[in-house]
Amino acid sequence: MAGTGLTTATARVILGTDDGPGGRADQIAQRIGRAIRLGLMVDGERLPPEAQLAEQLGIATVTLREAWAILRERGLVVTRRGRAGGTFVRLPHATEPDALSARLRRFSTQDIRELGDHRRAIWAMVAELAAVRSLPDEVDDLHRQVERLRTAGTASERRRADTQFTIQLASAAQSSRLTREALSLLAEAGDLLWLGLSDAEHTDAVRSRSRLVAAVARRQPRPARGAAQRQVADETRRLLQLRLALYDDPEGIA
Amino acid sequence: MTGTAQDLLVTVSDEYERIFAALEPLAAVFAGTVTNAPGRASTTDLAALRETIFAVLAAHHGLVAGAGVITAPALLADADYWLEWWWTRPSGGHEALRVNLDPTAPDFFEYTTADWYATPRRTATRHVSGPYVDYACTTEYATTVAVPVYADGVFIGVAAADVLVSHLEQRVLPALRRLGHSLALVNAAGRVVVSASPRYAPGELVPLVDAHPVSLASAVNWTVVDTATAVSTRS
Repeated sequence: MAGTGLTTATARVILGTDDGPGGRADQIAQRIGRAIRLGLMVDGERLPPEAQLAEQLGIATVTLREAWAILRERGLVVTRRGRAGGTFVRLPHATEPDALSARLRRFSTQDIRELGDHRRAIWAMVAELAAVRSLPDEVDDLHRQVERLRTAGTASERRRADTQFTIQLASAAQSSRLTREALSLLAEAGDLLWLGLSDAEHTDAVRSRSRLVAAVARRQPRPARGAAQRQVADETRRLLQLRLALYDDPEGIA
Repeated sequence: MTGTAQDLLVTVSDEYERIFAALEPLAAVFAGTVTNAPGRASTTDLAALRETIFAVLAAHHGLVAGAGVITAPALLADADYWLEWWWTRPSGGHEALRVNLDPTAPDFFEYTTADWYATPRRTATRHVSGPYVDYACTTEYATTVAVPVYADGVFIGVAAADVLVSHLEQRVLPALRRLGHSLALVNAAGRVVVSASPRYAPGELVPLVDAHPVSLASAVNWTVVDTATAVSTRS
């Protein structure tokens, strides 16, 4: 029940949208990695007991064990023995700034531009539809979620709050498919967007989402669309800046 | 045409009445569990509701996608917020809904402001909420049927069930199409639940010229509108 186990939303990200059989260990490992990047599983979080999690995901315990081994190798979980033991999420980026650079190095500037284009297309339509279709209580939820983002202090909390904001705006657009698509795109870049953000940059990020929600509240699809596009464009430009800076430092971690 | 539009609303209303009726035993068991617990009830006590919840899901399979109870804050001894909520996976089998109930978490599932909780609590009457994207559970487009529950006159939470819009459409659309190809079933806010017209689809808002759509169904505050004129069809 609630309070134990992964949330249903997290489990869905791990399982994918099809409700089919669990899949192979490497797929499960990849999808757990995705949930971690979305901030649905945060640094230091203790994962549910093996048997319980395997049951929730509908996979064999042995498959889950294999997935853990893959994730341990990638440094995304650690297993500790003893009384306070268990398997814990470990976000290497949270403790090692170099790991963020290492992940960013795997993207070319063109990859970043492509991801930005795709996110902009989806996010702009989400904003436009939300402005046309949302009702006042949904707008209230969006305001509340922007407030949660504003008060979120750590990168993990910010990422999780932004993921929730993404879900709520897409829900306000009355679209299950766009909700899934927006989440899927956020998973590709989620950790990069929220790590190493200065307080000033965080304030800007909150402000851009506030503007978007304000346009939705006023039921103005074009300004909502514009605000969404600017948000993604700003995020993409920041990623490009970070990526380009890595070319100035060829001795850095590959 | 107006008389038959009313017939259709009666049919929709009857579907929901059956679900409201199914929620009665669930509400009774919930109230009984809270009343009979020595001291304050706990999440363990609420596990006793599962049999009744599964019975609701089984009896209305194909229409009800999820069901359960949601507790008033601070009702339980061991959890400030709690849902004893189960849903039927597309592949079959019941699964408990898991959400983040830590109020300090950035993804806190703040149900006290959700329409399906807040409205029955405020009005002290049963309520049909939505349609909306049920992102916490099925990710499907759903309506929620909810009744407030009281123990010794004190509000203790709601008993509720989710009806997917796609399920409702199967049952409503043939009759709605027969009535007229420009008609739509909309909720009180003008959001389309089921539409016979290609101009409007579920989730879109119909501008209601009539600011006070007539509620033709007792608990289901929905109406049939003619989208060609966007005026409520009155009885």
